[in-house]
Amino acid sequence: MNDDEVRRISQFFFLLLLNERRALSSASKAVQKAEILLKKNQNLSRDQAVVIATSEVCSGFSFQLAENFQSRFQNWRFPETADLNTWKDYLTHQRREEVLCLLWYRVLKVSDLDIATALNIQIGTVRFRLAKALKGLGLRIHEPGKSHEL
Amino acid sequence: MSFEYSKYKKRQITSFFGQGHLFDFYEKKLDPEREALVEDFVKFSRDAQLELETFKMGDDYLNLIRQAVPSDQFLQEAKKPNSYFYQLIQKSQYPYWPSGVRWGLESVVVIAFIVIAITILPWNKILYLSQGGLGREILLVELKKSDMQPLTGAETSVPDFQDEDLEKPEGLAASNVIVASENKIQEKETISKNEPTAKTQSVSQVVGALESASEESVLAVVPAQSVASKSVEVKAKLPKGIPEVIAGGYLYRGTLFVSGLASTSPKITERIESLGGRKAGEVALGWSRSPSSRYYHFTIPDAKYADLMSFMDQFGQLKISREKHPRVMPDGILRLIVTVEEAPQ
Repeated sequence: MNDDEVRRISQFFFLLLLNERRALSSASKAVQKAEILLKKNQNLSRDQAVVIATSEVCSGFSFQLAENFQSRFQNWRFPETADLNTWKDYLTHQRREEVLCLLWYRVLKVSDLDIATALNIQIGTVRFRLAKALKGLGLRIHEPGKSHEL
Repeated sequence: MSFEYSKYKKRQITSFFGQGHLFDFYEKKLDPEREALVEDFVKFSRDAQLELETFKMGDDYLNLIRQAVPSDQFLQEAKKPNSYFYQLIQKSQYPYWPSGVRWGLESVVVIAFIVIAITILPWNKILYLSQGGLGREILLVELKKSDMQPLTGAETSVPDFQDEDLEKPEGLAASNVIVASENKIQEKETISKNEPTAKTQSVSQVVGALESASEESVLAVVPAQSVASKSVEVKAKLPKGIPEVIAGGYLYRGTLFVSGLASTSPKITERIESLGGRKAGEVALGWSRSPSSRYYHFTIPDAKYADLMSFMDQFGQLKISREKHPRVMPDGILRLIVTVEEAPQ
């Protein structure tokens, strides 16, 4: 895996977990798994391998997303205007598969078609999840603290 | 089937259709015709407009937090393997331990592996196989059932009272050996196959005294030529260390010299039997030990002893000596060993 792919995978897990130690451990696992998948299956695209690897790593999580939220980070730099509490609140209440789809689509820059192929689901399902995830995030930003059950 | 158009002659979409394609409209992934339809829908739908605004707000927020940049160290660590053993090494900072401690720990691990291997491996089997396996067997004794002949007659029967004190005959390869074992004495006599075998006698009364005895004792054997006219008292030597008080019975011995042994011996045998005498040993009454000797080992009622002595006196002078013996006879029964020999010319 090249540096850009490793960076994007690290970003993915960091935004998913909001914990440096867990993000590092998960990113390392996902990188190793993606490399193994690419070696085993030559027909698999890099984006699909990344989606499969990250999905497998996430399926092993026995904890809630952002459970060990860190208020301060040593190895990550954020824009000052970024409010992570909103993001933490979003991760806690939104459904996991919708959050994952959103991060794959927006952070890893994986197309909805590759996501559907990697997860073996319909593309309409992917777009439905993306719409719900984005709408839920928007509503939480627009009305923070209010329950936004969609 | 015909579709009704609105009064404006335009095809319109339902709110359900519009809401469902809103995200695709936002992402600009609709074909031009549908995009135009959804755009018209959005113009007249406040909810659709709000939803599009939420999409935009979410997207803006995501673009903001996506600007989080990891450090180079983080990226380097993410590229490394994440196995449990690797993590253990990293957390314990094993590479930074003192070299002496590291060498000691590694040597302990190696020694542990060696000890486990030595303990688990079946060295006996390995050595056995390396020495050629079955070729190392040593044959000590081989017996075939077909070669073994069963004992017949007196040799096979187990007498009530085992014969004993057989005088060592001339010319025969005989040896009396008493081997003191832990619990009993066994008197073994091996003779040539022409002679009947003498059974061993177990002495139960001397069990306790013989526990520490490990010596051999040999019966005193008196050759025939040294016997005088009078009976010779032959005493069996008890194994060393056994006091006489342990012997509870008596044995009567005697030797009789007669003329015409061949004719006299059957008469003696018949008389003993008529008086109630029975053989007390392995051999039969009047056993021909040698051409000039007959052996009588028998029991007789005490009441008939005098009659026997008077009968014997008509052939010669018989003097009986009594000696103590561990073998105990029932009350009223005497045990005698009488040797009848041809008188020298």
